[in-house]
Amino acid sequence: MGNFVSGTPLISYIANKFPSMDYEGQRLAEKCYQWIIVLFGVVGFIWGYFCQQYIQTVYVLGAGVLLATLLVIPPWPMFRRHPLQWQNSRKGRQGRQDKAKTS
Amino acid sequence: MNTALSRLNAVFAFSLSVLASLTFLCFLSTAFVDKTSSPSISVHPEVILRGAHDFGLDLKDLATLKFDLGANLSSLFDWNTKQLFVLVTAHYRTRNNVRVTVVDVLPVTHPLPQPRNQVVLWDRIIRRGDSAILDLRSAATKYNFFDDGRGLKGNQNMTLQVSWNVVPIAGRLPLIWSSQYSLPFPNSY
Repeated sequence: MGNFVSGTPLISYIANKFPSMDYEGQRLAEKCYQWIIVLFGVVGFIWGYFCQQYIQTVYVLGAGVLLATLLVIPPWPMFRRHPLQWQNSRKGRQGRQDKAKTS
Repeated sequence: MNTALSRLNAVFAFSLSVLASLTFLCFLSTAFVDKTSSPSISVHPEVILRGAHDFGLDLKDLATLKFDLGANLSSLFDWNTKQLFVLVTAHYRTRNNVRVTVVDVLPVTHPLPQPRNQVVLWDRIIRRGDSAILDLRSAATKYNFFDDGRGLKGNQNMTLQVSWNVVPIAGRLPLIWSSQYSLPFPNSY
């Protein structure tokens, strides 16, 4: 199921081609990238201190960001395991009558 | 977080926050490291003085000297040091220029001469990875040593000082002065 992205026509066209994460998937994705980036940051800090070169810290953090990007940006199936259970659409006369009542 | 673009935005913003925190920690880890060193400087006895024109009608004092400088500044490079900027400065007092600065009003805690002219004679940038060992023999000054009058001739309170900026990746930019080398100037041109 696509989600609606507004903005530049090309970007929104491409974005709307992809399926979207469900709510649980978004929660998981957020935890994923936060843990990965913080972990790589801590390891990179220790490694950079060991080498006495701060650029090494930046490189390790960059690797973590790359990994987190690959893992979290595309809506992989693992982030789409809890789809929303939508109510079935009502058809026919009954549905139209309900609609008229509520409105 | 529901679209790829918003996730990209979130990952990017979060990684920048982490990078900023790490840089701050890097600054903290080196904030209290001693940045002093003890270079040696000496000047060859033949200081040549002459009068020269410097954009004006009056003759101004121009000094030519050669100096030796030995220093091992390797210990100043830690993981928060980008480069060093090393200077050789002449300090002297003349009747024309008695400058009163904050340094003179506050109690002096570093070995700077007080009212002074300061002339930079030589400098060098030592980048990370370059050799931080300075071994100059009979080096000429890089810049002209002009006075703004006739203040160099016979000046007895001339001192040379080596100083260095430790340029960090993040944090303070300290300027550290070495001890002074006294250099009385000749009485004749």
